[in-house]
Amino acid sequence: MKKHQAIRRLTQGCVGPLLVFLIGCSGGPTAVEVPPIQPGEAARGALSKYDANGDGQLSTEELAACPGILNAMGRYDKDDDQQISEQELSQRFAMWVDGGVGVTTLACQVTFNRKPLTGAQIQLIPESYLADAIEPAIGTTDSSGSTILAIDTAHLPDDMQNLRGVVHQGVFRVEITHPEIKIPEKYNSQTTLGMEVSADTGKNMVRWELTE
Amino acid sequence: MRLSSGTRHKSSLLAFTLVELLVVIAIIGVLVALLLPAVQAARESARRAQCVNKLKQLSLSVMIHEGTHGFLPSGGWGWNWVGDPDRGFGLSQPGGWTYAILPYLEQETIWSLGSGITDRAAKRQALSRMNELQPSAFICPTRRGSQPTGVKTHWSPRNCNFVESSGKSDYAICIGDAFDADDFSGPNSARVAEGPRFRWPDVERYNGVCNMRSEIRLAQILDGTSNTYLIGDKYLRPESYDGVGSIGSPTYDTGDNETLFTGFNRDFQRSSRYAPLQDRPGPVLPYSFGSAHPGSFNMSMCDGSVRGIGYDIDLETHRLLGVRDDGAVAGDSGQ
Repeated sequence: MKKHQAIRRLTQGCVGPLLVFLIGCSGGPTAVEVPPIQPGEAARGALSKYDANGDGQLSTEELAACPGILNAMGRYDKDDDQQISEQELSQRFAMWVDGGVGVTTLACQVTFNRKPLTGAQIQLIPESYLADAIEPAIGTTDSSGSTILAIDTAHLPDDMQNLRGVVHQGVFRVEITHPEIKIPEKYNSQTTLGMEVSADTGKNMVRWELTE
Repeated sequence: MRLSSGTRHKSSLLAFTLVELLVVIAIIGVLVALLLPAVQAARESARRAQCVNKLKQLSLSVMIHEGTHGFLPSGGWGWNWVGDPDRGFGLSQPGGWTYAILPYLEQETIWSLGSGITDRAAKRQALSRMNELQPSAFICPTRRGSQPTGVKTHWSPRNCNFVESSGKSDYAICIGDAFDADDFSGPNSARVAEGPRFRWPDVERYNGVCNMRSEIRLAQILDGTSNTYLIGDKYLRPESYDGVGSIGSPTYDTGDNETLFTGFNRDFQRSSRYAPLQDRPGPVLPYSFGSAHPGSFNMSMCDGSVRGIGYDIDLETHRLLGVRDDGAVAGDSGQ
């Protein structure tokens, strides 16, 4: 019996690592995880932050404080009543989770007084109700005023460190500053710029035209 | 005692014990495990050779197109337009490069579907039929089988009828190092497009070998034809290989969502601005080159040669190889 047990243990000991080895060999490149957005919780968070009159709906006036959603109103307002309900919010957020999109591409071009703005620093800051799940993205514009926005590559798998330049889906406010040129406050500390990043729209390039 | 031990001895001569069986299975398991990766690698290397051959065929077709018409295939009008055999070659042709090279790929029968039909409805139907076909020349065998796959459910083409599934392309032409790879769905009608007041969008930023209504001559490839990308593998997430479905669905990808013969469209145009990536679940990167192959993807150059390029290529080198007139010397980071 002792011999049996020893051999059985030996075979079990071999088969286990072997299976791990086989699975390890066949499992291609690393997937990119979908950010852990909690649709219901995020929708409640958005309402409690922006629903100033407490009617359980976000109107266009209330959304002036959340330009990211306001600019994408049509994609949220499924029943076309010019109001966004908690359900409409959570449906849209759930689509990001169910769609399985880990990261996507976003490039931008910035002009200031109609000229391309070189050296501008762009920050995409997640709205507070999504901040636990998605990462901020940054970029610095080149001579054409353009840049690819990027989250920190620490949030990407090891074999994607060369990628530099992917963003999470979500609702962001946008702040644009420049080390030398004074950019009006309405584009940074008191920003009125905001956007929704969502791979389903196909809008992977955005243009911001800043004026004094 | 003697009797019983004798019986045991006899029975072990007649049959395997469970332990012996397990040992044999374990040995077979080890041998298979050793062999399997080698077999898979051989299969993949055969598929890669096939893929390189397809890229070679496509780039030769582009060269014959250039020899015939004096310019590289045009990028067409936009993703709401499909190729039309009665609109010739160059800027008057609404279909993209995938359509323009068909006669030079020995696929003239597909190219000429709907030719000469004057009835509008019949013509739309004929062009739809053309878009439902999947020539295998455009499919990478590592990625997927050569059969029509699902088109986005809200596609509204201007010059043909909606089709549920269509041909696709796993190969993309390089539009240069622009920050985007397409921008315009196309004009509302041919009459509007050819009217005197219609203004096409600016395409100045596309500095590769093909863009909307382009007619780029070889002489415009100032960096040398062997130093400039022509066509290569495109990135696509595996969830979308068998069709994209409706918007917001778990298979949706804007980089593969219209038909093979549409005009100016990221489905078969990519920018060298973006890092190449091997296909993987999660990222939707509709402007990037890349492929299903491990280690490296394939790119053809404007001289018709095909190179394997590592995913870890220096991004600046990759970007410069995509630009036809930057004047910079791009290092050879290929294999």
